[in-house]
Amino acid sequence: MNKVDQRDLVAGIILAGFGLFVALYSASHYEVGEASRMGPGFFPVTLGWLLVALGLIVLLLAFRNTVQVLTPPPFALRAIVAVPCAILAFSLVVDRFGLVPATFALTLVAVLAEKPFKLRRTLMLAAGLSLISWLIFIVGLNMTLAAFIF
Amino acid sequence: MDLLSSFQSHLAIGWHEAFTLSNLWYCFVGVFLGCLVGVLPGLGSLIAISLLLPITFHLPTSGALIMLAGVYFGADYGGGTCSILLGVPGHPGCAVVVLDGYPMTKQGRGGVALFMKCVASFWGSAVGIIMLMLFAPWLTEFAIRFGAVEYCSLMLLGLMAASTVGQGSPIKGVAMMVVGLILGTVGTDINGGIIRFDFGVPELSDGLGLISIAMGLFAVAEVIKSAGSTRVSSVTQKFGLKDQLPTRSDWKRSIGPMLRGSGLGAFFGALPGTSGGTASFLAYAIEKRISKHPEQFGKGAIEGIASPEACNNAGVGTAFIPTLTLGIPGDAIMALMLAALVIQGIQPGPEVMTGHPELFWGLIVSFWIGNIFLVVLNIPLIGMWIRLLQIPYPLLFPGIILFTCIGVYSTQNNIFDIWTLLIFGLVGYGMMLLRLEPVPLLLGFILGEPFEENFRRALLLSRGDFSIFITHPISAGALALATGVLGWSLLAYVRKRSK
Repeated sequence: MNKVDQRDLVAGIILAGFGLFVALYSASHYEVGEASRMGPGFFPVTLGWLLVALGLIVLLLAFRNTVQVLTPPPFALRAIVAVPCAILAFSLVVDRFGLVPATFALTLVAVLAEKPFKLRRTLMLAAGLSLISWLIFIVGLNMTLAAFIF
Repeated sequence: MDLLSSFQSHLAIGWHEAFTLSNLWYCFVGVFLGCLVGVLPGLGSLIAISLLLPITFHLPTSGALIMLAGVYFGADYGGGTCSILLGVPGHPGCAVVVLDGYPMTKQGRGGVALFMKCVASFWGSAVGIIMLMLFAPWLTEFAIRFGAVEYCSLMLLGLMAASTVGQGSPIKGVAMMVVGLILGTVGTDINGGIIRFDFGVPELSDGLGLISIAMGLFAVAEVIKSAGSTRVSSVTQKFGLKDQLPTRSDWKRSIGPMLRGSGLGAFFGALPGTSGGTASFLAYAIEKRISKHPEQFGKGAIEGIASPEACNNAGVGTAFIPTLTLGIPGDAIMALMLAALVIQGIQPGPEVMTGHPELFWGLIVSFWIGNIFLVVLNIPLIGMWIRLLQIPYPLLFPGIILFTCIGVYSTQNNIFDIWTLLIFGLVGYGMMLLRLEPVPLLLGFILGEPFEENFRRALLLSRGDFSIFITHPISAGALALATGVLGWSLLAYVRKRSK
């Protein structure tokens, strides 16, 4: 009896679940039609069921897996929290206060992904990145982005 | 002599287009930025192109494509530098160069390895571009007669090949491709105008943003992954021009492998799904097999650099053949190139060449110019890239996140795109944890809409009769190939697993 590959088990369940959702949702919300006159639901319903089948195969194979080729990365909690929060911070600041404050917000949060936190270095980095992005995107490419919004 | 004169007139068109001041500038910026991103560990051509795709919104059509192609070539050159000096592959395509490049660095011959890599890359690119110039016009004439049935099957072949030749399980690859196709159906249905899967969110009625998905899956996921892991990077050697010059015996040992590698790469590059290192590993294996001293491979044999690098770059050129003539990309990078065409309002397919000859031939001439720029950037100026490798990662990754954010935001000035980026960054990292590959997903997403359109049109013509895909010879051939690719990769995977 081989050990169950937990990653493949989870992957199979997620894929099959997503497929099932897509198939049922589109079958109930959009007209399916038939092959000669397909409605908007035909393609998603077909793909949904196909994905259910593929997900189930992945799930079944998880019970007899021995060798894996790809090595997954180590689970790094700090980075998983800090990087998305940095993006979120940017998105909340940029259209209210402008590019430069958003750059500072993003940088200050992003550096928390790694230890140790050095304030001076981080502020200098944020200032440098603000200058570079201002030069590239506002001066160089003429984008409609304000450096500061008061 | 008809061929020669048409060649000359085509080149004249291209020359005229590429040698404008602005296009030369875009070409230079492209190769420079490509090198810059490629040389950083973990960031390959795919990330480089998705980072720079939003910028092309603001450029003229030929400038946009010239720049992106430059990024592709540049990232390939840069990735090799990182592989040779740090022993860490910049991206999967240059993983094989590590095998002999890094031992050469440890022996103090890193400069020679870098020089030879450059020469081999240039030679490979030249072969690839010449193949593109020869075969693209021919294939276009052929492709102009294709209908919905042929396109549908060819797209299926491309999708199947790209999702099964990866490193992981081919079943998971196909599943990710299906997920991509499903994500591609979000938004307004082109046939009926009905909005699908918008869940009441107005931003979703235009569909998910390609740039947000590409950057999330590749750049953001990669940053999350590498910000959490420890790295070693140090380059202590100095590289003057003198340390780089290969000896006579280096040259003699490299010419044969370069010729073989470029031939192999040119052939495989034109086929769907074979980029990303498969062909270059094959090139390496062949050199090792036919070499008189196979024991030196893995310990700093220069053949192990010349052949795979020539192979890689020849493939870059020929990968454009199906992309530009048929509108069918062989891998995710070519799919992003097609996306850039669509952004510019040009429908991919044989009309690209017949309707916009100045664009096509301008692009080809700019390939030559870009490769010459790259040789200059990489041989005399190698010191600059080495200094770049010294930048500690904590200083680097906030910048990468920042540029992805500004990039997606700048395309439509919409915060929603940043949130899409955020979600797909997390999805991409989750996929890494579950050993699911992102490339087939992206390709499925990009081809989703044209595939559905052609599929529906083909079955409308045949009144729902699926045999139309087998009775048309070209379509039947493509489907047979697709089945063959799937069967072969399943077999190879089963054999690898039971080892």
